[in-house]
Amino acid sequence: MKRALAVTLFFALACDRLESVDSIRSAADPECAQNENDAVRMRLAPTCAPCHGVGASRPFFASLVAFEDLLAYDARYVVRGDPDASPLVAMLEGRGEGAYPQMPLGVDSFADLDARGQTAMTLDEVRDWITNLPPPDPARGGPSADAATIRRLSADELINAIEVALGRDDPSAGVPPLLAVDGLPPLAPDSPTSVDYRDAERRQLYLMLGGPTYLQQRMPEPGFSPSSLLAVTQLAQGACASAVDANREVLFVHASRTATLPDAEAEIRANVAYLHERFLHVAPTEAEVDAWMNDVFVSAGTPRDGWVQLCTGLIRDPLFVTF
Amino acid sequence: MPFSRALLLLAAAHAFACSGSIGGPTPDRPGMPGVDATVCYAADAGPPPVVERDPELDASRRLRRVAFVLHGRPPLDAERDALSAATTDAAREAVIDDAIESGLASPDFYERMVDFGHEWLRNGSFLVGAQGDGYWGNMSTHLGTCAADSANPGAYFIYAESNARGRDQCAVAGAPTRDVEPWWAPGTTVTLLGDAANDAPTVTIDGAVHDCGIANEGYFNMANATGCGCGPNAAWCYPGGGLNLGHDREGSQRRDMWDEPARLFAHLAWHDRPLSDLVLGNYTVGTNRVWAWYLRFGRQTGLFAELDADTTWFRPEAGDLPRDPLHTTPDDPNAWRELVVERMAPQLLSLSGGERSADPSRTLRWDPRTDGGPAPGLPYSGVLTMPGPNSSFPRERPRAARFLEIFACREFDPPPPEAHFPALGADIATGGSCMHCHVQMDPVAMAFRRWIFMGYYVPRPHLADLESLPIPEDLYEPSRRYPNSHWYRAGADRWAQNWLPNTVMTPITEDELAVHPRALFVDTIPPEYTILGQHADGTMGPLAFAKILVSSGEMDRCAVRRLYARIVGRPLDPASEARYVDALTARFVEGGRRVRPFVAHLLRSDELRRGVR
Repeated sequence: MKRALAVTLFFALACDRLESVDSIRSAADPECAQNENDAVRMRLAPTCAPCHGVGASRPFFASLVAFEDLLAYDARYVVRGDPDASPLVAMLEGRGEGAYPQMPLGVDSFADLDARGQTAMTLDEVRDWITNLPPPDPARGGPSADAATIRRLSADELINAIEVALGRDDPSAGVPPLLAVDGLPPLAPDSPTSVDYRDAERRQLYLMLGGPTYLQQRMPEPGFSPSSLLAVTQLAQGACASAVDANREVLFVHASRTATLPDAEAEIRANVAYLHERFLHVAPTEAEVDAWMNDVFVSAGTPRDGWVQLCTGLIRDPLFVTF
Repeated sequence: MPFSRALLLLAAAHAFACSGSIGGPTPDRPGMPGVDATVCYAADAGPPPVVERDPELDASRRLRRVAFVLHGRPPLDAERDALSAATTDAAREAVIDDAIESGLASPDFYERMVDFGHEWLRNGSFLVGAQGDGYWGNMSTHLGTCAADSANPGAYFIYAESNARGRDQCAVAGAPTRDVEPWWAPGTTVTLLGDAANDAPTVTIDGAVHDCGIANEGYFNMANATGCGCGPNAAWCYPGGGLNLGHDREGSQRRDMWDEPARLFAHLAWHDRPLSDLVLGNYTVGTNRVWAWYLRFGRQTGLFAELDADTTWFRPEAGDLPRDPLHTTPDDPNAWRELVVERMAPQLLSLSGGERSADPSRTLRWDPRTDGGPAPGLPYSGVLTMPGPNSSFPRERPRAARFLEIFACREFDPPPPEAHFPALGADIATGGSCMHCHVQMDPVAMAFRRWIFMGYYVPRPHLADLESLPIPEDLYEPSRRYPNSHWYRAGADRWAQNWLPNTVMTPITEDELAVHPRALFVDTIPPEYTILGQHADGTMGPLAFAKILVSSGEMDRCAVRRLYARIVGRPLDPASEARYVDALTARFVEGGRRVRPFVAHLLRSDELRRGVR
């Protein structure tokens, strides 16, 4: 799939010119290239990108940056200014000395394909490109500015986050205990199935939260699935109801569990703001406090349900379930 | 694309939150313009929630990230209070810096590294070669315990089929017993009952002398020869039956053997050792159960009876060996403490005179085509020679593929459909579409052929072609099922089919094979092979590959990518961030390949300050 996407992208980048083998050479000078290196990348791509595109172990042709950083300016492949000393040229000519004596891998080398006119760039042109290769861009080198800046919490982090928010002060760093169920021992995420049947329910909940359980070859769920969101919500509801009913001290710093509106509005607002910061590690604005008050606490009907739903909503908040 | 994933995550969270039936409503978030919790965007395909990049997270959110990375939890109240009390940016930075330092010094950090070790050094359970109808991976005489209301409550009897000499003794008052300090519970005393109480090193049956230090196959349980006992400190026995459930649970040997690679990784991180020791080292870490595994593996050969004289191996306090921070009581048998493997299993060679070493100059040259006799052993090479991974990846090619994936971040994808390959011949590394992967895999795989797991009823671990396990002279006969059940189960048929002379994975000639069948076990990577751009140095076995992993820089680059993904929370893109990977790798190597300072660097990096709001 990734490779198909890469090929599709290439053809899109190449301005839809490559329609057949016969037309490869005619597309030798893509106007959409960003620079000379990019033009070379596009012209080599029909031969090379199927194995070296997006998602490959060596994605030389995934982008111009990849082409330059992984191939054009890596001396293991290209010696700038010296095509005869460049292992890339040797491989294209079928006389490489490494694990891959020939590229592309298979029957015909690039040189063979070139001789039959089945490449978009000739070997001589590759040699010329290496001879005149400009120096690399010295500015490049940091992390991608477009990269993601958040991730979801894993199951053990989520459980610990809930437990800390609700007042537990000694969560485990390794195998977190799930909320106590019938006095059973803590669930180990790598408990094997079919060994302790009593643990099945909690084990399933742990997996629904996204795992992992490495012993069973279940890696951490990279994002949230419907089932993991469902599990978060159910876990939050149960934990919050239990904590509110137990009148957990850390939940009611500024207002009592039974405080009602309008008499105790100031106290309740203060407690909502306190809980927001306790759960999300961000102080709320007045408008946010208004929203939590009106949309959640008031609409719940009773103070008890209000605090339970507020607690549950905060746990479901994107700022809570992400890193 | 990654940013889109963040959007999707938030969209999914909100879409679920507004379902109404679960958990109640979520309020509008004024800080996120355009988000109205009363509208189900996912349902009506409306606009996704808008999130803004936050180039500088609040200190409280950064402290939260640090705590999750190092402790697996958000900051505790005291840690938050310390941050709240800081009134200047500099003071807040100092609080976060302290949190990083104290977190890295906390045993929690070790635990998080164990968890990361499981994720990175992924292997299955110690199953293949250890458990069939019963667990035989301990290579020991299995012991059961007498009932509390028996004549010998709590005494250990041999769990084999002969009840008269084992279980039935529980009811016999005055039955022979022997009290010992057992290896699994140092500092305590247990009673061995019946045959288990015998302490003779050998027994003679029908004129044949049997070494009591060798456990034989049985039905569900293993047992040494009839009349044999458990040896010094019950070192020849294991407290449990082969059919007992729970062999995967914490506190069981099979679980520990699965855990061993991750524990070694965490050990290296905790003790500031070079991460390259993971593959170059001649040492591991283990609980008493892991030490017992290696001891049994050594003793089971019948070559090293002198191992019985070691009466300190099971005493964790002896030698004050480096250990994990979670088991600080001196005599805790569950402590993961360091072991130069050769001490317990002399066939797994240290090449350093028994001293801990990860020196890449450790070398053993052994060519079964020209060197006479059985192999002298196998150089121990960290994770690459651990029984757990070699059992979990049960053949040489899966071992090569998995270790290339784990340590060199290689991926094995099928070739593109339009690719043309030479016709498939005898060697899948040089012809057919198979060569797309095997050209890279087979030169490595050839070094991983000596671990075999075989047995009559339940397979057990062996190193092939040692003196204790010579290869039959007529082993290699293509197109015929090998009649000996042991060698058949070891895969001799598969060797005949797949270990073909004149191939990349078996670079021997027919003539060499005709001279001696042990040539089939050639596991010295030829110097002319190129792996990861490097040539092997002629060391036998996986140690040569370990040296290549390190000298090529591929393991460093891969480790940096894995660590980065774990700490920062996103994978580095090798296509668009290659120079950044190189820069981070250079820093990692300059820092002695130590994990802890590299984690500290990442936690203080600008990357960890970026978020969304």
